[in-house]
Amino acid sequence: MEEFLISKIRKINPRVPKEFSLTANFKTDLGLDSLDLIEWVAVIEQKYQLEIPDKDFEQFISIQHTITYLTEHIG
Amino acid sequence: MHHGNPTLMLSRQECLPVPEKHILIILPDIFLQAIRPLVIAYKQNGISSTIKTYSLQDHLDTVVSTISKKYDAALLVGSGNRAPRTVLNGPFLSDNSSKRIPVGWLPVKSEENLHQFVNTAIKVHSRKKGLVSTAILAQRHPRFLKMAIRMETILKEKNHLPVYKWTSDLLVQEEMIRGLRTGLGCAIYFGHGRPNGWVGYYGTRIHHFTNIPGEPLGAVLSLCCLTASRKRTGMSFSEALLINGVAAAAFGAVTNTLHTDNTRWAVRISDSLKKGINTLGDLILDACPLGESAWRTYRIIGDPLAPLFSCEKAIIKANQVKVYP
Repeated sequence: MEEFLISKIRKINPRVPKEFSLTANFKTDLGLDSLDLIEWVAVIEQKYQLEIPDKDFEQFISIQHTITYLTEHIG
Repeated sequence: MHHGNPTLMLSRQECLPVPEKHILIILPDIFLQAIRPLVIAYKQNGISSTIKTYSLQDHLDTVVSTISKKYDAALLVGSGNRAPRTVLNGPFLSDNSSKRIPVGWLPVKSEENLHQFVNTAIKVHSRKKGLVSTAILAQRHPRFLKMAIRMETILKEKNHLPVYKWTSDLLVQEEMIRGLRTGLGCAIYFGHGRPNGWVGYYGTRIHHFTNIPGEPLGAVLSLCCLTASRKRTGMSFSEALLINGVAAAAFGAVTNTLHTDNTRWAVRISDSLKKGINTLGDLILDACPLGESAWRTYRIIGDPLAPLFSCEKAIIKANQVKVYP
């Protein structure tokens, strides 16, 4: 999961550095904007066949937060 | 200035074979003869048809309730007085079972409307299989341009699908429409939408298309608000595309939509096209987001089995469209 998420975040925004902490904040550390994050959620929904309500978007703060969310919701 | 976008490496394109399909066509009995040429074209394309007729006095809701999911798709022809929102509940029939079938709504006000649609659909079905080509269109706004860039990037990631990014920052409306009228497989628009057209390209209406003759598109997908709505208009933009022979099918929303939902559609449509999906109905089923809010607002207008292949010379002509980066 971690490997997939890291590769995807780089595809969404190629300016993401090669190495970064899993807890790096998408916006302040990795430079993603709100449009990137919408795509991020769309990609995750598709990969894990998961319906993510728009109100949950704010929980996707970092790779680590994403993993936590997915672990809780896909079991 | 440079010419168009790239990629004539068509031999590398991944393309799924078109499996045999069975379509249910439901139409008023007075139009039975007019639909025959399309049935023949379907048959030549490996699509078998079952035709059911109804009387114009019949209640359309009752007619819709008879559509069985044993078919692969359904085309419902009916009175042009009915707005798309009031005929079907979404782009496909869905119940508690997992199977969904795409359903296209074709509003006709006269037999001439049906003839126009049939002629357009026949042209699109007679195209050589293999080249699914896509034009990506967007209103000049960072939000929509960014989505267009992403979609282009995704489509070009692995295989070499012919992709043309003709967003509003790169070319004027007339050039964009000339590009579409070369006969590409599909066009996908992001931006604001209205019942009478796209806000992008300084306002795009049906007459902008009909003023420029050319070949029909397989399908036009408007990932935006309202292009299949009839609020304060006669025929909606999505319907008008069909009735005027601009495309064999259209996909548009009957209400407002959310950018988050349209982004979901865009990401998924890109992946589905990459997989080699090559008809509108299959594209909608494969790419449909899980959340109901994302698909409930959309309708298929016209042929749900419209192929997304280009006509023979479309790629050459589309490569000649001038864009100004």
